[in-house]
Amino acid sequence: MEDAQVARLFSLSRAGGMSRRQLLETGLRLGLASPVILSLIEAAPNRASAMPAEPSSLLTASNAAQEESSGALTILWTSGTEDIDPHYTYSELASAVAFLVYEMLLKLKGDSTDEFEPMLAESWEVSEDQSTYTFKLYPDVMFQDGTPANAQAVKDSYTRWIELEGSPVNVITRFCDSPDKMEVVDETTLRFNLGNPQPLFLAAMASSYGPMVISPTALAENATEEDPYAHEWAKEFAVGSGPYILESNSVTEGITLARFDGYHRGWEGNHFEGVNFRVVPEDATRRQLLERGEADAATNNVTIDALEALRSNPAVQVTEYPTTRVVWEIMNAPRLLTKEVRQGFSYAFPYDEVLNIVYKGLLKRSGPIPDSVRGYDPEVFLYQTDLDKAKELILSGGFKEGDVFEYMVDANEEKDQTVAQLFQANVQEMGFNLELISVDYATIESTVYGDAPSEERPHFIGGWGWWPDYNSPWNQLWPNFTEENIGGGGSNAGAWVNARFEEIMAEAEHFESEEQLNALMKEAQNILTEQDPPVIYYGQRVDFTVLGADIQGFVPNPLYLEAYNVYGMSRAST
Amino acid sequence: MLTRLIVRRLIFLIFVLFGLSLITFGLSHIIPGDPARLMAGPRAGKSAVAKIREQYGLNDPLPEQYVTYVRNLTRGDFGTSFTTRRPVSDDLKRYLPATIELGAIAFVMSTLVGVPLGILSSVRRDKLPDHIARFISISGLALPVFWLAIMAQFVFFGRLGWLPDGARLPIGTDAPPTVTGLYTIDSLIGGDWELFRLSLVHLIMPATVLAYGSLAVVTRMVRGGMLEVLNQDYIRTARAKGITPQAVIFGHAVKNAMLPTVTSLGLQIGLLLSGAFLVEIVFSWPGIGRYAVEAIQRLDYNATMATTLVIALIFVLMNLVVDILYLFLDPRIEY
Repeated sequence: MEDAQVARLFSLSRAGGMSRRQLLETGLRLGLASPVILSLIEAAPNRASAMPAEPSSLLTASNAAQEESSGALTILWTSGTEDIDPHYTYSELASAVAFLVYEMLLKLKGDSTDEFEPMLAESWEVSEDQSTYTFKLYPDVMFQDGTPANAQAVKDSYTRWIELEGSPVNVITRFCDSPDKMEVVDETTLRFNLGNPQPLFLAAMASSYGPMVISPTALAENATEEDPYAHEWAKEFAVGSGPYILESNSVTEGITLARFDGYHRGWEGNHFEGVNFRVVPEDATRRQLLERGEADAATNNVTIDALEALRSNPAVQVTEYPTTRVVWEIMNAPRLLTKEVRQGFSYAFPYDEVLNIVYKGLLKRSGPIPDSVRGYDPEVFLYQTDLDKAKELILSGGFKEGDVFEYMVDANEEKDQTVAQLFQANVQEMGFNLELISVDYATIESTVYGDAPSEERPHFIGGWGWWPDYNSPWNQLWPNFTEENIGGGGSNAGAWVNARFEEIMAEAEHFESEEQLNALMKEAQNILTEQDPPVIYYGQRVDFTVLGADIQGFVPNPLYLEAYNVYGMSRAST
Repeated sequence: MLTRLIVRRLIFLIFVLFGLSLITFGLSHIIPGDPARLMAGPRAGKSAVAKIREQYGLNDPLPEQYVTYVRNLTRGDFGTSFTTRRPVSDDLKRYLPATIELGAIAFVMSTLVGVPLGILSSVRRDKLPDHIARFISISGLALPVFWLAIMAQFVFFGRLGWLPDGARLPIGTDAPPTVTGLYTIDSLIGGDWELFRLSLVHLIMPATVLAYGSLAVVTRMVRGGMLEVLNQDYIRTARAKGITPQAVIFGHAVKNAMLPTVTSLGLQIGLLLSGAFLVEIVFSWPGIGRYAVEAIQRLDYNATMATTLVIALIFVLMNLVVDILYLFLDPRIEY
């Protein structure tokens, strides 16, 4: 195996298929002595002349002379992640790293949630009935280990995504549940024969959860009998075809990336040479690092109070933008007895205070579907605080004054604690009691996804929420409000069931036209709000990113939460 | 006598560790929550969670899990961390040196400053040096270490820019080749003076903050011990015989006042390790304290129990060292 790798390294070196850095790194990994590697580097021809002619976008490391460097971009994070395998994990940090190390076939364009732009695929064709998708890949793209990133590599990678059955597997299996539906037409053409119309397949392929393409060579080298998909390796290491190479990864210290010289879009112009995802657990430290210019970016990772001060600090710039993350509190449907009681508590919620005092404007009132996701109903019913009406509805359900309700809340999340206290005050004003149960987030997550019966769960779980994996209202609603997702890992923690809603979801999963989907979603949103609310919606989150004053080119996308388009960003020269 | 003492203490240590393992195991498993669910991630399917539960033996009855844990422990196997998915012993090797380095520097600082300050405070009782020492001691005891850490960082990094915010080395700087895991020592071994300087500069603020509380205790202990000794008859006799004040203090008083101080110093090592939990968070110090906090937050039983046991082990061993030192400081003592 190793001999074959060394032989391949020699061949790639002679062909100019690898950069000097890649030669050095791969050589060292293979255990070659430094003089041997140096001789390989010496023997390697200039890549510009050795590589086949490419379209203008396919530039190579030979552009170094025209480059203007921005140094490294330091992004602050509150904690590290133990797993960066894009086919397995849902971590936002892992996703942010995957965006820079790996590529997908395509991605969402800029801040749009329904337009796409190329990554590995330079173009794509969709059959008239939307059941067949053909992707034409850029030729001669290489992974960071020198393996060709061709159609077979994409198929292999997506086969692993399906078979590994990690957290984001539903993103692909909703449309393509078997590797047999992927057809390698030629070196650069991959076709998905989905069998039935799937209008959202492109949207799913542009999700930040799952569609990353991993080097099949790296996976094969690290697979074992017990771990045939090399998950143990991929949770800590990464080899993709993206602009940055993973250099180090530590749960407590962070992740560092360095520029991949062989990136197929080249390095002409002003780019960052590397990226540091630095783990800094303390709020005050993160703020100081940003203020002193020793860190360049942080998304949602400073307190809202600190944000107020940072907004007027000329050393930084604050960008605020709506996301697709909707925040709500879960109501335990069986314990709250009737839909009228749930409507009552929805009227009891202190919307204005939460919006203006707790979130300080970083929230936009919404129903279950955010406004940048298809199917959103701009006329969705929104509750307004009305304690008289609330009390009347709660009493009508069989509760009486003095009754105690339990509310589980994250003990370490200041915002959630304040929301809980404001809600508690309203509930008490109506003559009932709300007992706050402050627990660690781990307990909340275990309660939501766990198997405990409804009678053992609190009446309310605060600070929960959801965002879709891709632009699909079905993907936003199905996991949270369908009967299938009660217990056993599902997130319908309130055990809410509505027969008509189930029918709508079944129909919406295989919708055929946008008009049909919009009509179904309009009805679904009305059920989920006015008619039979399963949760109390606070609203749609407005995220913020604090950037150094000299950082330019940041374009947040509402679906790519906490991700950075680092390749398109740069540091303004002074 | 020394061998008997060591053997007796080591037998005692086994019971202590066994008791601790039982308590930490019990407490860890009382906390509601499902580590398998946390490991699988927020939107993982049932099969992914079930696979993890099976892989880590979380389906077994609790007594069986405990017996397996203790059996593995006797072989030096702390199990696998749910957080890092590596053997906990590997994680300890990775994170413990950072805490040891921080704690050791803090210990040296608190001893080198605290002992002379305590002596000065006692011989200049109720004079200006005593008042200064008292202010330092009381503030060191009264100020919470996390507050002190945040304020020190605000002043010396945020405002003055004299010291780095935290971490062991500047971001992007390669660590020295690992020999001991202590960057200061390893950079010296590698002959890299710049790296040594950087490691030291990064240690100054967290170590000083950590040392401050301990320094207060040491100062008060030394002062108290010295005042007691300075009132003894043999000190008065020594003075009456015309021995110089320096010889009285350093030749007679300090030596006898050191007995309670040694006890205190031994305990300080344990306190420095536990104080490091908060200091490591504020200064982003990748030590065992941060590792433990992450482990607790993620219901990582194995890592939580291992860090507790390791710290307990250090505590007990330090007490043993103190007892042995007693034998040398005061040969009249018998165990």
